[in-house]
Amino acid sequence: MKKLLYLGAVSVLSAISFAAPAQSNSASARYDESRRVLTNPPYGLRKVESLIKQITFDAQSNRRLAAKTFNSLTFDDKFTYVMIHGEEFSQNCSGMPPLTNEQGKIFSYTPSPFGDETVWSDTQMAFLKNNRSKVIGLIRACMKSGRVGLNLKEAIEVLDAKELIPDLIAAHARNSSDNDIMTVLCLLMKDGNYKPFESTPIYVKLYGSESNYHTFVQATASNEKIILTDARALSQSSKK
Amino acid sequence: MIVAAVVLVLAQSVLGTNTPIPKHPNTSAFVLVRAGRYRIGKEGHLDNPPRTVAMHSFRIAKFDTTNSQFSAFVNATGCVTDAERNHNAMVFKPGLPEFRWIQDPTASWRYPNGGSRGDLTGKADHPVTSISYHDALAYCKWAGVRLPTLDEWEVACRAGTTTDYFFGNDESKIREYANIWHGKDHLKPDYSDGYMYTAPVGSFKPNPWGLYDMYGNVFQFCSGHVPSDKSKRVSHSRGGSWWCSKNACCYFNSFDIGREDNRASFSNQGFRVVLISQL
Repeated sequence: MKKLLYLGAVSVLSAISFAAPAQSNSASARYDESRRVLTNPPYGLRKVESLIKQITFDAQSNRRLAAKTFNSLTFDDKFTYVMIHGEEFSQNCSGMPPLTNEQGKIFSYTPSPFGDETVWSDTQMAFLKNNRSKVIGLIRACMKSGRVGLNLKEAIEVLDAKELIPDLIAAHARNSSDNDIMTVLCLLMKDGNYKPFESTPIYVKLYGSESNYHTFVQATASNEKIILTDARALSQSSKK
Repeated sequence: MIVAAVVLVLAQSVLGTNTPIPKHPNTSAFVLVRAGRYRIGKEGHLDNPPRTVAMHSFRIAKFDTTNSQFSAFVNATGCVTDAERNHNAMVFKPGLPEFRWIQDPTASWRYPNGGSRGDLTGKADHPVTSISYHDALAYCKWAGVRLPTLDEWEVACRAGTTTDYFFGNDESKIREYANIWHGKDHLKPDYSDGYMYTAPVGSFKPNPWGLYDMYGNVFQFCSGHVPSDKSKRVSHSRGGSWWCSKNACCYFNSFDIGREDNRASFSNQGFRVVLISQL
C-alpha cells in the first residue's frame, strides 16, 4: 500500500514535465505499467488461480479464500496464493498514480502490488512472517526466473529480507531499468538503520523529514553506485 | 407556495447565498459554481494532467454529509450499509505502520472507528464515515442529490486557483484549513490540531468560495474514472483526510485522486453532494 509525495518532488516534477512531450509520457506510462507486473510463482499456479476465480467478487465483497480451502493447500501453493492475491481493502490514499518520467526515478517506496485497492490481510502477512525462511527460499527461486515482480518486492520489504540483497543486485544487473530494485535495497537499508546509508543525500531525500511516499531521486549511475555499494556492505555485515 | 419556494431558491442562488434543501436539515447549504472554463490538473500527473474544462453550473454542498444527515437516510430507508452487512470496515488506531489499517467487524457508520472506540454520541455534526461508495450512492438516490464528478470537485475545490492548494503553494498553511495528521508517522496519537479522527464539519477555514473541509477531515467520494483504472470495482475520492500527513498520503490538495474498491468502507471516507438540478 502506498504512497505519494509532493513537496520535495513538485518543483522537480514541474520542471521536467514542461519539457516532457507526449512521447516521454508514453514511455513513462509504459514503464509504470511494467513496474506493476507481478511474478506468478509456478507452484500450483493454475489451481490457485482457479480458486481465486471462485471467490465471489459480488456485492458481498468477499475477497478471502475460505480458511478450510487455504489450509488444504500445500505450502508452496499457499505461497502462490499469497503472492498473487490481496485479501484486504487498501487505504484509499495509498495510490501511487502514474507520473511523467517515472523511468528515470528511484522512488522512496514501491507501489502496492495489487492495484492499490487491496493488500495482504493479517492472515496472509502472518503466513509470510511465520514461514520467513521457507518463503525467502521460494522468493529466491522465483527471482531467478526473470523480472522481480512487485509482489516479490513487497514480500522482501515485509520480511526485511536482507538475505536477498545479493539476489536483488544480481537481478538489477540483468535488468538495470528496474529502478524499483534500487528502491527495495534502499528500504532494506533504511529499515535496518544502516548508518552509512543514513548519512547519504539519497537517504535524506527519500526518507528525511520532508520525504513522502512518492519522493524520488534520479536514477543516475552515481546514485545507483552509492546504493549498490552500501547495500553490498550491509549484506556483508549482516552475514557476520 | 411551491412557486414561492422555487423563487426563493433562485433568488438566493443569484445572491450567492446558501440554499437549504429537504433531507439536509443540518448544515444544509450549497454553493453555486458558475458555468465557465476552468483550469484543472497538475503537471506530471498522467491521471490528472493540466487541462481546461468547460463546466456547467452546479451547486455543491458547503459541508461533507454528516452523521445526522446519514442517520435520517437510514431511519427513512432501513438501509444496511456494506460495512454493517459484511463486517469489514477498515479502521485506524495509533501504533500501526504507515498505510496499515485494521479490519474491524464492529465498525460501521454507527461506530466509525470500531465498537471499542465509541459511537456517534456528540458526533452528529461530524462527517459520516465507514461507508462505501455504494452506500454514498444509495444516500444520494434517497436525498435526490448526486456525487460530484472528479472534475466538478476539483473546480469547486480550486475556486478559480491554479496552485496546488486553493490558498497557494505554501503547504504550511494547511493547518488553517484542514483536519489532517501532523505527526511524522502514525505510531502515536496526533491531537495537535484538536482532533485525531474526524472534526465537526466546518471546524476549519473554508476555501474562497465558502466550501469547508475540501482538504482533510474525510476523503470525499466522486463519480468518474481516471485513465489508469483497471477495474470496474474502483471508485475515487479526493481531498485527503484526518489520517493524511505530509509524510504519508498528503492527498490534501487540489489535484490528487484517491482510489478504492467501491465496496470498501474506511473510517476516513465520506462524501459531499451536488444538487441534481442545474440552475
